This record gives sequence, C-alpha cells and structure tokens, in this order.
Amino acid sequence: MDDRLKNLKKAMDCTAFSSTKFIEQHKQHVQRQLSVDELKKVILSLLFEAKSGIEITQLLHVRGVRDVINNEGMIYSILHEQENEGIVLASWNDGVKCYVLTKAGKKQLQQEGQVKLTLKERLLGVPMHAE
Amino acid sequence: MESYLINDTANLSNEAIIDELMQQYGEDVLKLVMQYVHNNSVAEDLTQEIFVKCYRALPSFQNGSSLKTWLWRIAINHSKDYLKSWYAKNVEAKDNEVFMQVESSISVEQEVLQQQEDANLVKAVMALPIKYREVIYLCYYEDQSMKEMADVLQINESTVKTRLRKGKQLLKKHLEREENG
Repeated sequence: MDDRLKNLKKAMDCTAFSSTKFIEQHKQHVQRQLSVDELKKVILSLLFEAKSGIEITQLLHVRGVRDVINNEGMIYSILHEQENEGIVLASWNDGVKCYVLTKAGKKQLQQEGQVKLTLKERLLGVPMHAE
Repeated sequence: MESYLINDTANLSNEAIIDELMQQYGEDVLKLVMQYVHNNSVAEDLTQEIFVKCYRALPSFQNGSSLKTWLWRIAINHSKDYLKSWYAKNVEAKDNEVFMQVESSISVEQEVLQQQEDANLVKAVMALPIKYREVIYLCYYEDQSMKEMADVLQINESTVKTRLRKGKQLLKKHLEREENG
C-alpha cells in the first residue's frame, strides 16, 4: 500500500486536480475583497456620530481614500450591508438618510482592535482621534 | 514543510503578507480545500474566503509560530465548517467533480494500465471518510511529518498515526475489492 501511495501526488495532479488551478483572477478577487474590507473599517470608524451618505463620501474624499473616487456607490452598498447585519442603524432626518453605529456595531469595532476608545471618549460618545 | 515565520514578514503590510501567502501557497490551499469539498468552484470560493479570513485574523496571529501552519488550520477549519453547513448539505447540487475528473482523465488519454491504477487509487482515497482522507492526503500528497499533521489538524500525534494506519487498511481493502472483482 505504501508503494502505491508514494505515487499519490502524481496520480492526483493528473486526475482529480487536473483543473484545480489558483489563477491571477482569484488573487485579484481576494485583493478587491481586502480593499472593501479596509474601506468598511474606515467608514464604520466615522459613524460614532450619525452622518449622511454625502457627509461620509466627503470625509473619505478629504482623507484621500482612493477606492471610492468615481466609485461612490460602493459606500452605499457597504452601508446597506452593514445595516442588514445590524452594525449600522439608518434613520431619516429631514429627508436625508443618516447612518450611525448600533451598540453591537460599536462593540464589534472595539473588539477588532481597530478603534480603541478611551474612557473619556466613551463618556462623551465621540471619538477624539482619527480612525 | 518549510516554516514561514512572521519575522520575515515583519516589515510588510498586511495586504503584502496576504499577497505573498497567495503567491506561495494559493494553489496548495486550493488543492487542500478541493480534497475536502470535491468541487472546483466551491473550492475556489472557499479558498478566496480563506485568504480574506486570514487577513482579518492577521492582527491576532501569534508571533513565532509558522504562518503556513496557521494558514493550513484556517483552511482546514473553514472547509469543514462548509461541509457541516446547512448550505452544503441542502442547496449544493452535488456533482462530485473529483470523480468526474478522474473518469474523464482516463478516457481522454490512452487507457494504459498504470493510469487505470492511478485513477483507482485516487478514487479510493477520495472516497475515504474525511478523518482518514485528510491524513492520507497530508502525508502522501503534501509530504508532511507526523508532527506537522498533528499541528495543522490539532490532534495528537498518536491519533494521526492510528488514523493513517486505519486509512491505509481501508484503502487496501477497497482497492482489492475493486481490482480483483
């Protein structure tokens, strides 16, 4: 049995794995995911106070976040996704839709260690430092 | 399995680390996942998710252990989670591509004896229950040591040995039945 199994790699590569290839396209797909992930974190870190989509977009432009330039729709798709997951709460304010982190959203953000709030910030409910 | 230490990557951004991992191990991870799920497109999706998961988990990666071992653990757990999911059990049209590919690779080329034997071996391995299949795969396809297997599967070395032995017995029985009629 051992002798035959020594041949397993060759045997699998030309049979079961004959069309199993990790190609550039897969890599690019992951890279795109990662940049969306980064953008999501930045957006969420802005939402300790309620902001409208336009305000978020402007802030991201000011910060020079490249992924959103000419691709502002992505911001809304991220916001919707987060709304559905209960991370962000959306409400209508004078005809403008505003987004703010829910309790669960704040908790998750803190656990990720990306945004650490000081006691003072927690008391005031306002982030004192960027990101 | 050469260990890829975080020290080598200390100066890289997280994105660059993931790029590097995909470059070095993309195909290995894809095959490892394929061994579990038996379907190319599912394996491709899961592999991409695995690298995204790694990226998210990088901040909590323990310094000093091997990045490769860590990546393998994530990949193995992610594949098994998928197999246990409601989705995998109920929604997925179960075309077992592994077996189809094994069959087609025989018919396309000359049906020489060696090839038939290889195909039988692969089919028998792929038909093993997961706990035996994974050790056979890691041992004979990836050439991992007992210790490495115990590490990535998070089980005892003695358990690895037992499963390997049992797996080989099952294989032998299966192949004898198949080939001797």
